Amino acid sequence: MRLLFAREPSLGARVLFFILLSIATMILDYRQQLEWLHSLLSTLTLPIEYTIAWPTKLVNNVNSALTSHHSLLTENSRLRAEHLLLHAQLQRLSLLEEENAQLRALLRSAPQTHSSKILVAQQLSASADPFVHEVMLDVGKNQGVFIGQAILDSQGVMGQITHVTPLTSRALLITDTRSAVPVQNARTGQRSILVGSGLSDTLQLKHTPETADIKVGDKLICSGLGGYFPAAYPVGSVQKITRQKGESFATIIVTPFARLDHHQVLLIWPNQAVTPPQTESKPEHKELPKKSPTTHSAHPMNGDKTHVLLKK
Amino acid sequence: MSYLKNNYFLPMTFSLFASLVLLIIPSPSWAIWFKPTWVEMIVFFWALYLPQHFNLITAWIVGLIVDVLTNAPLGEHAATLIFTTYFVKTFHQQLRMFPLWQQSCAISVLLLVHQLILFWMQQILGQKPTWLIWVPPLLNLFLWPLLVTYFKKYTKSTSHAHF
Repeated sequence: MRLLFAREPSLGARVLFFILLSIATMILDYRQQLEWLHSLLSTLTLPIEYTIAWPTKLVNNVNSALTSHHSLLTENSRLRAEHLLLHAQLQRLSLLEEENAQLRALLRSAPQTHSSKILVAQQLSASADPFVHEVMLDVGKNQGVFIGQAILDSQGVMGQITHVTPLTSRALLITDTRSAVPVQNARTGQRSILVGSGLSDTLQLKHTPETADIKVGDKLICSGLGGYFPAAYPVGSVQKITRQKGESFATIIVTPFARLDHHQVLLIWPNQAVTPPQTESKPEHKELPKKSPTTHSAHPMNGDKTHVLLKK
Repeated sequence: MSYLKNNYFLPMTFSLFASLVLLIIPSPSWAIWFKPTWVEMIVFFWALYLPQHFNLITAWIVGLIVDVLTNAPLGEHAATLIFTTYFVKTFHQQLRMFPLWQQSCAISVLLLVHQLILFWMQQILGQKPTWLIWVPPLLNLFLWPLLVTYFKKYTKSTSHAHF
């Protein structure tokens, strides 16, 4: 019941109160002290995200219901052939892996790690802001997802997890301007950092010297330095190189292998040998590859020098 | 459930939910600038036609949900939305007297102000605004009359419609 002459704070006062409250929450959120409110609101927004995922699921269901027997048979035989082929390749791979481990043991160097657990996740929604390249996934802390984890598709690396709630998680794609992937050139072994450009399907290779040995079409793979992205997974291929006189670094445009608008993604758990990144702290997106003393010819300056000598 | 007896309650909840769904619906990258700002439009509509039933705190919570959905700092959209909703609520009597085209012009200007405040805030946070921020309010200019003609019937009898 409302009293007839009860004094209510005026509209302007209430607006001011809420704006001040918003500024307070913004500051607290910036300092990451509002995780509880984040997870509470994320639970509230779950129906919205599932509503969006629902039509795609429906279309898939209808598709599978309407597929004819014949096309299913042909697809099945094709998949069988593919399975056989991949199995044969896998056998060779395991042999190579063993041999590699033996050789590494002989050289007394650290064993290469490979992933042990893989999970397929569905993309729930994409970011509404054109400057932000992020996707929402339908797996979360309950499935063991952690911050900093790499996400892939069948072609290459897609990005990494930046935010985890119990049932969903948010991933930053490699094309976002805040993303940086430590990579190495598969042909020369030269390392550098691949930075997102903010445009879809374009990445930039940073800090590559003018004289570095790099060609259009070179394949770039994850170097595994920095600890977040698993080593040796393909990231992209060099599309265009612009060398400008007077500039110390060449401008190199790279196209990612991964289909970033695809709905299915893979999540990878590294082996126990790699220390998993702490789940509490946010990862530094711009991670620099550490200059480890064990690397030899892969050092950018070495390759650079030899190239200069050859040129002269 | 006395709420459900009200004519406006279900349309209001449904339209807010639908606008939030439309906000994060995936779209091709070329179309991302041609998305009308549905959430702000729906909030403005209810603040304009049912100011006594649409509380400021509803606008604030909707803003917070937008922040979570777009992964913005909590409070960014909430503060902006409550600021512009305040203007709609204060001038609702004048705005409702306007002819529809004039009303949609006024609302579009307010939406542009909303966009500008948002982009000013985002610029502080290190993003680059472009001239394309004009596009969503322009789209709203054409969508507002449709919205009003469709939803106005739910604002007529505000209490205890028996059906």
